[in-house]
Amino acid sequence: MEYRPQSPDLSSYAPQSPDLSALQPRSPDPRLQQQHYQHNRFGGAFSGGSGFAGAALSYPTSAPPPEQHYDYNTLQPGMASYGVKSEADHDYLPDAPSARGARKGAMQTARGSLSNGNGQQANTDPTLGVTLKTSFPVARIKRIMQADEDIGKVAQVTPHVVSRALELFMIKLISASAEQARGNQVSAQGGSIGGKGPKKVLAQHMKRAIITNDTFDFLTEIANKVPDASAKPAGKVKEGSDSEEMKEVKPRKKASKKRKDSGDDF
Amino acid sequence: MSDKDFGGNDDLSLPKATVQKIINEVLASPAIQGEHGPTLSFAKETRDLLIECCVEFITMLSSEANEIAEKEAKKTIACEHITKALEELGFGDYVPELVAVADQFKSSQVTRERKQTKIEQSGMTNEELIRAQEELFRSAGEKYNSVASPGEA
Repeated sequence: MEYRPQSPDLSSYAPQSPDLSALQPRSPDPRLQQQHYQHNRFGGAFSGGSGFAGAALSYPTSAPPPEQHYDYNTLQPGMASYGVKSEADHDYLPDAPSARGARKGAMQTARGSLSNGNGQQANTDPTLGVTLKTSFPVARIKRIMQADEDIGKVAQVTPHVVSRALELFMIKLISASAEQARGNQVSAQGGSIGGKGPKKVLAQHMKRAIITNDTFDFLTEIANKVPDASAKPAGKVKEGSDSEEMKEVKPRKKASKKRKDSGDDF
Repeated sequence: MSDKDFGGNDDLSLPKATVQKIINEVLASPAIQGEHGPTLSFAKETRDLLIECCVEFITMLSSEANEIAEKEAKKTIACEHITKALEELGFGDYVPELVAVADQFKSSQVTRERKQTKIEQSGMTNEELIRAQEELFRSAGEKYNSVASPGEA
């Protein structure tokens, strides 16, 4: 008997993803769809029958598994490959306004909220049109929360929610700082100093962003630890220091600035 | 990384790499980047400052939510307490998004439980389950193979 294992010819195998790009509730079984999501996001125990192979406890070794379900897994944090502009939302819950925040970001971008520079939408869209693929470790967040002795128990869902809130907060703070760095904010900066080369967002810029923005009031204390740009250079350049001590920004300090920056670049 | 650290240290901070990734994603995003030319980058000190702000945010939010929970005589901080706290702190525009996140989580929890029970309730032993599974795959495989070229192992 000839044993000739061949990969099955899949050229005619063209499974259709359930058509979710129209974001209509047309999926055959919403619950099945959810299984994917749940598996991706929370590492559920089951690989999830994608509806093609029925209940699956493990991956088959003989028949070609419907491997397209790996595409769905791109939604795992840190693994993603779908771009910001993707409208074909491999989402499982077409009904839901959003699944992970990331998907919501994609949907909103698809609706053309911010990418064209529509200033108005910035006020209503907390993601500012940004889609994040990375997210924070939930356990770490819970630990930070419970570092405060006053904090007692925390519901299971809560760190997830805080994580997402934190992402939104970061988006806001980062973009406000970036605006300061570019120098074309609504703030007192006025003219667009916009750099010719890649500019760095400095602690100074973040400090200004914090002071300028009311919602960042709780950060004022932290911001005040950042010395102002008028601080004397003094030539004491600490290599890779973790403190927020502001080294002199002035361009003429190129030599020391280079040294300082050597640890900065990513 | 240090998440597995059992040293009981109170140096709780966020993973730098994760923070850096988020920074990059935000700065590179079309909504932020716009037509402003080359992508900005964060100085190291700025990133560290950002991390500090984030931890402060979490702490403040938790503290506020904790108070709200206590007022309701609840010992566990629930999602509703967080959302109320956010409104108090001026981040009310985050709430719709977060409510959606919470719903996602809850429904995934239910589904996970239901799946667990389904396995137990099927009344079959592991062997039987495995055999049933193989049968399913075989029949599924036949469908593919009948479409594809015949004659494989």
